[in-house]
Amino acid sequence: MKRALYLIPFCIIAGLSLFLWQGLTLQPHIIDSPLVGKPMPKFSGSDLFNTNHLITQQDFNGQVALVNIWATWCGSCQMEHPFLIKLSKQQILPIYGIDYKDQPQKAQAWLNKNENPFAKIISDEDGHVGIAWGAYGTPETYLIDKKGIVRYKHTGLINQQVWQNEFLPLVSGLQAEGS
Amino acid sequence: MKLISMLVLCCCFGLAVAGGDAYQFSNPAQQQTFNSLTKELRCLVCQNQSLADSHAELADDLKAEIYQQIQQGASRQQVIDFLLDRYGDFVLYKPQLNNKTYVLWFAPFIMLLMAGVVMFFHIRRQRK
Repeated sequence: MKRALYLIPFCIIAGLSLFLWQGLTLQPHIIDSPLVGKPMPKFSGSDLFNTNHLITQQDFNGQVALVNIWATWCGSCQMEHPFLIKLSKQQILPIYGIDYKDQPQKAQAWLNKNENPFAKIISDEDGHVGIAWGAYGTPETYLIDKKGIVRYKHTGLINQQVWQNEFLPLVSGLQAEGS
Repeated sequence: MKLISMLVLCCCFGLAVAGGDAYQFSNPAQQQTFNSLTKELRCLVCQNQSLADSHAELADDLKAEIYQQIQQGASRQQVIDFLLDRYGDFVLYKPQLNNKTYVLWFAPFIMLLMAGVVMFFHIRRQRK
């Protein structure tokens, strides 16, 4: 019986080793967003193309949509851009943009030159809208449903693979929901 | 002359490091809250640094936000809740004590206790 007791530390170490082994596969730089499952944050920022006009969370309500945080200074966002253009042309869902800590003129010029996938864009020069969304590293994209609840967040750029594997399965289900 | 300019330079270094406090409060309690909070909160961009130490843009933005909130009378817990709501548990260096973290906090003590118990019986057996 006493011999069997010596198995206990062994089991604990084995269990811990499994935990730590699994930990090796985690990516600490990707933080789970606490916004998922909750109503989208309240925010207010000026429209990039019409600075007198304010956009708030009310303007994002009513449809399943993507909220994409990007900037002209962000290399990954520029790599993601062609895919967003492609996606916007498929007209599956609107893409709303938050131009984070950027210069409005730069952003306007860049979008005019490279096509604009966004149905609405907020110019978030000081980053307060980004903080409301818990942004820490562009590009970041949120999926919101018809009731304005955040259902998913992807940190990093979206490409065809990410879209198909992570977003598409959720989108059709959400669009079928009643408002 | 060279010695004097060296001394002045060294003093400037000291000043440069110490002069980083852009966030001053007239209320010392608020100052204390701000200083201790920014040391306990993680910079999410430079994840091995606290907000106090980090010069990442997000760290500066968050410090400005926290400064404003404390100025407007927010309590320490209110500021923590604000950040937890947006960035999650990872933003705190010290994990909070809740159902998810009991194992994290108490496991070392439990293991130490068990080791002590095993040692006790082992030594007793050897003595016999």
